[in-house]
Amino acid sequence: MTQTDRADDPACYDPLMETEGPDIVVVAQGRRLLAVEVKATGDLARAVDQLSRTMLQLPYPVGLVIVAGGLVVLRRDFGTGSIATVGTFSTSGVPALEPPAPGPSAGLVFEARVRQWLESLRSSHVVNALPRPLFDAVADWVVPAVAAGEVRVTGPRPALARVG
Amino acid sequence: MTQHVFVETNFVVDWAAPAHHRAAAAVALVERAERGELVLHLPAVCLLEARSVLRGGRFQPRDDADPIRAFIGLGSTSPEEKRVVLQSLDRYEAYIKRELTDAPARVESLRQRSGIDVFAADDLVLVRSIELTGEVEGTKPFDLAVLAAVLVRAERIRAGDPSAQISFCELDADLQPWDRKGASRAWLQALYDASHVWVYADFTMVGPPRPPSWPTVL
Repeated sequence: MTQTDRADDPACYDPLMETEGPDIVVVAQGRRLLAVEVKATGDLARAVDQLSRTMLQLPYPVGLVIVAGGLVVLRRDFGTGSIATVGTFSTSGVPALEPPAPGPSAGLVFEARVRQWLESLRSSHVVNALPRPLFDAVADWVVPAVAAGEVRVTGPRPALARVG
Repeated sequence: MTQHVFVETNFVVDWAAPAHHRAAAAVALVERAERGELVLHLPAVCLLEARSVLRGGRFQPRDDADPIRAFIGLGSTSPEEKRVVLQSLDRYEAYIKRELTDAPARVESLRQRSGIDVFAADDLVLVRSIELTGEVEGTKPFDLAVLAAVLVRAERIRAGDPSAQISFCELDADLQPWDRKGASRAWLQALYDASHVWVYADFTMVGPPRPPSWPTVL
């Protein structure tokens, strides 16, 4: 099968292949606002380390690592030039961020949920419903980005019905 | 196997921006080209667009500085703090102004760097550009010109070196072969595939991950 034969299904871009870059970004007219790493399973410390490296390579001022049950907010420390952790916050009580059932497509399903959740944060209704202290972290660090920019995944994704 | 990497306006802007806005990944890519680890290819028209972006409003310091000046004006800081902050803001604005004044020369300097191929559109590119205009709707003429330049140049590289590994670091959503939700934009995908161009989402060249066998599976 040639790559062009399957142009409508870019299987050559393997969505299940591990990637080191962010899964989702928020950008506005060339300005990078937020980088997001999504992990349905796996090592949180490694994900934080990975996203920190990306934020040093590309000037994202804020980063978000989202795992099942919690999220970590990272920010660029302009004083030291390093990446600092703002905090780790539980996402229990946020139905939109509930982890999917384990399976081969769990990562993609969770990423899609996170993307939709980020987009939903443009509504103050959604933000105001968040439990504290998650509300404060999201309002301070995430909402300004999603309000100003476009939420995009960083590569092709298969239609979820066709996955696993 | 020689590695060829196409870049566009966003790369130039990220490389030539005022220092604190610069992308380390863009700087590293130029350094790799200068060391001979890869060849960077840049449509010349992107230099012009980058100069225009750098002159535009994105990097102007006033939007950053004025809210702080306004805060200082509220009188909640001591006279000494006020003096230091206002002085710093003035220096910040002067620094940005200087950087933006120097930016066009910095952009042009890419032409002189080794390992960087800044190429102009030739007849083939123009013809391809017109063909693309007829094939697709909704894509800006400038984007189509860049796309045509990349595809034609890539095909030329491959004709001279069939084993060449060709990539395109494309940050412009209009030319990425996927939409914001990740759905394939089939017409773009087919064009890149036909020219054996792997599209990365940024200059770190890590994602989407390029399978080791690609494009030898073709």
